[in-house]
Amino acid sequence: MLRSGPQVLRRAVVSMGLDSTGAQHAACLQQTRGLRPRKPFGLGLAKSKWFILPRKPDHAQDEWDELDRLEQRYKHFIESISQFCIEENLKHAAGSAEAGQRTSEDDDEWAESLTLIKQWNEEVAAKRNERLAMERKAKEEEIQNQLMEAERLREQKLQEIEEYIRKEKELSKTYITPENIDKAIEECLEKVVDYNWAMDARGQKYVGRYVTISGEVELPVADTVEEDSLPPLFQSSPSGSSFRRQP
Amino acid sequence: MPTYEMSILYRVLPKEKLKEAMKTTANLIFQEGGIIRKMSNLGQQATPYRMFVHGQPVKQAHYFVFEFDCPVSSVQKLSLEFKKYEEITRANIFSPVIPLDFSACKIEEETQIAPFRKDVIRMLSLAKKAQEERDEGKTKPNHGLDFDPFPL
Repeated sequence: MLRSGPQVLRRAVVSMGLDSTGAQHAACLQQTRGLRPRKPFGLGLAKSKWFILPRKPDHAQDEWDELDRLEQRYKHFIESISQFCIEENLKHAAGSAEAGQRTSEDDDEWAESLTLIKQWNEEVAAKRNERLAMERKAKEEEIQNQLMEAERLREQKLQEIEEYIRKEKELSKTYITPENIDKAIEECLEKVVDYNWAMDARGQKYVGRYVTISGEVELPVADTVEEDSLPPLFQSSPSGSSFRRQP
Repeated sequence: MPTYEMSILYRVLPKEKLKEAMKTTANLIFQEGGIIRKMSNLGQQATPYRMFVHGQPVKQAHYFVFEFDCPVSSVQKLSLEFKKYEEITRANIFSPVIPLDFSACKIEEETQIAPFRKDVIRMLSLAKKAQEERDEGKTKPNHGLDFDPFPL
């Protein structure tokens, strides 16, 4: 994001809801134009700097003394505070005499908290058992439903199979086998079927084709349809009054 | 055994020869352990183009449709076998297409606007599922914005 231009920052500012006119103020946000690559830490000190000793600060002797004194004082204070803390800690530790003394108040509090915890546990256990029972019941119902559904599907499938077998058994009477092949071929050669058909705007169906093999145009005979039985749009003189044009 | 449909074209032959040719065709199917359900004769018709079968031009043919059951493994064998006979011009074996069911009127369902049509809903759900599969493992921004504020 930092590498992209001010356009992104403007959009970000507007999107965060900081300012509706973020475009005006976005110019104030700090931007960096690029990242200068640094040397990795693993390389260590450069060879050219190995034998260069840093110069010591040049102070007067009394200033050195003063710095020493302040350092000693700081160390002394820190040591004393830590010593105090250690002693205090030891005083209240588990093995000390003070901690070993148990008062009757403590015992009472302990007993009271134990009973309280027991009570809470019972309450939670009751709730949990109730919930578990409900869940178990729901699960049982679900499994029962699933079993019933599976049984229903199985029966449906069986019925479908039986239906299929029944149909095939019926059809098997008309199968063509080596026994009746001659008869079937003769029947087939006698009867020519034609699946071509056409339909005109009046809904009349013309079965067959116009042109015969010899090239003669042979118009098929359409089934006679009474004009009154057709819908009014297909009638030459519509019988309904709504279709008659007023003079 | 699945059912197959075969459209078979015989050369223009005298009736007796045609009978023999049909019988050999049927016997080939029977040899593979198949049965014929139906044979329909579409008559002698002009072929759509001039065919060359065994070096002879064919312009007219006897059209037949066979419906038969046979094992899946023998379909290839049969279609290769039919090419060996001079009488047979063409023999193509198809799996029959289940016809569409036009018994019920579905005009109300079909005239609905696109997002309420069943096929569109199914298509959308499939596309959504595919997109989810494609986006699996990608981080989701969840910032609720209609654009990406951090395009990098």
